[in-house]
Amino acid sequence: MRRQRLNVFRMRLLGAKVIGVKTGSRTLKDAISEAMRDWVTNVATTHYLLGSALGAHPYPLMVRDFHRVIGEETRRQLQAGEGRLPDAVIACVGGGSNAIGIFHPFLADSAVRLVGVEAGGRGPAPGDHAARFSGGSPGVLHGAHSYLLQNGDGQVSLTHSVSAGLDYALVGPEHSWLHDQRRAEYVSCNDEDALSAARQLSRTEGIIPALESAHAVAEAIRRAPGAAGQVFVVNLSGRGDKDVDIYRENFPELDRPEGDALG
Amino acid sequence: MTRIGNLFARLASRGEKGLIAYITAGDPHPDRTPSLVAALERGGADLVELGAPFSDPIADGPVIQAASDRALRAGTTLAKVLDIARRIRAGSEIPLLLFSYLNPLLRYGFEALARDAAAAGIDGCLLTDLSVEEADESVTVLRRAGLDTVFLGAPTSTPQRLAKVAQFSSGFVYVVSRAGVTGERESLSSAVAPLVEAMRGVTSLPLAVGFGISRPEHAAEVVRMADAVVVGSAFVRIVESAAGAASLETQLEGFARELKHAISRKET
Repeated sequence: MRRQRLNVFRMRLLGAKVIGVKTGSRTLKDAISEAMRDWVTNVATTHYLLGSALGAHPYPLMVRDFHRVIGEETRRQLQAGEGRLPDAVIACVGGGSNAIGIFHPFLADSAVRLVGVEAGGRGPAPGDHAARFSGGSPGVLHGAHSYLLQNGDGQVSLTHSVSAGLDYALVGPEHSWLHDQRRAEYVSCNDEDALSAARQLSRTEGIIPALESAHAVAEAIRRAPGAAGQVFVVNLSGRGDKDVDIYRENFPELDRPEGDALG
Repeated sequence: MTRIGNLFARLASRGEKGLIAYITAGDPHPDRTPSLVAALERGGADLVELGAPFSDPIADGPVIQAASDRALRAGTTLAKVLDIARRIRAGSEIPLLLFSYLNPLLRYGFEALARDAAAAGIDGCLLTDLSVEEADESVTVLRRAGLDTVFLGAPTSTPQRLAKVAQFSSGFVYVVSRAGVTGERESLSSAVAPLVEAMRGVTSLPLAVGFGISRPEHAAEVVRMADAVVVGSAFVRIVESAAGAASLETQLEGFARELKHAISRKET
């Protein structure tokens, strides 16, 4: 809750009761477990909503269909504005709801590269990242069978990302399908590159992206030098307002009292 | 017939009810579990569920979650759980049900697990998060190895789903007493009676009721309807509070005896 302090405050402002998780590793997976336990206990009067394309069927499918709108609009607007389809669509992947939503209307367009960006965190050591495709293997968590970060005994690994929304051991199951079909490619971006991309986008475009989306921005920046004339779509799936506390911690030079020295 | 099938046949022929005790394997230490199971058996447990610890036990309440954590910290792996079963089996014929989440078994390899579990003396498997919609292949593999497969029917299950639960179960069917997770409760849920009745309508297998049952009087009430009662968190709580004590085995045995006595009392 500390990392999400601003959002916890906003939820409370809107009237929500926010309960901290005291079990397990006290991370997102434990919060999901606790939400599911509460749900099955109070199933007659409550409903379960997980903000990603995760969980048991039919939730990943429902979430994908709701998020598809962004992909459909992207496709229509690009055709209207540019008269063509994009060369690549780039989106961050935690559970991967924004990614599956924007990828889906392009699945049949085999010339459109679909690029999912996972959290590379602090580095490739176990527990330091949430890159399920490079560091994981098929497994079951919270009702879905997908690529999972786990140890040799099938216990779920801890994960790390500067971005809370990407900090989860299982990837949304449809992404595993697209990965195994080789229809989409999955890469990772570390904390430092995501932070740096967020800063660059803020300064050059005046858009402060969510830390999650900053991972996709970083991948677009990485690919840009060799891609003159190509059209990339980057899914800016979230606003950075919620991450201002973390940006402030990571860019202390912008937060000094004397402060308007540009970093 | 499996040890589980034999157990229920024997209980039925004597007009008796079964006591099923759950403990988390490896809690407080893998070396201790065989002696805890022996104590439960001395106290009158008819079948023991050996819980394989998992990092994310979504069907379990705080008591078994903590036991799972302790067992994992003590180095308990699925292979060690099988090793524990082998050591129990060396000195006992008590039926053993492996209670696990799906992922450790997938990681171990389902075929290999089925073979190794049967060889270790495990009699059946209950996989909490294996839904009946996905169960076909797993059940085939487990049954081929000679293992029973036990599935859960819940108060929220539709009649169609209860029928599937029955279809994929062998040995007995596990009836979940209430919507929710494992853990001790103050009262017995009113959902039990109608659910047992609905389950009887779709299967002739014995029925065991569990989740939330910890008191002798609740156990006694349950077996007026069902063939067996499952008690878990109450045993695990004893393990938690007496883990360092030499009297742990005596305490488990004593509580098992109390429960067994309560479900053996003839109605007057």
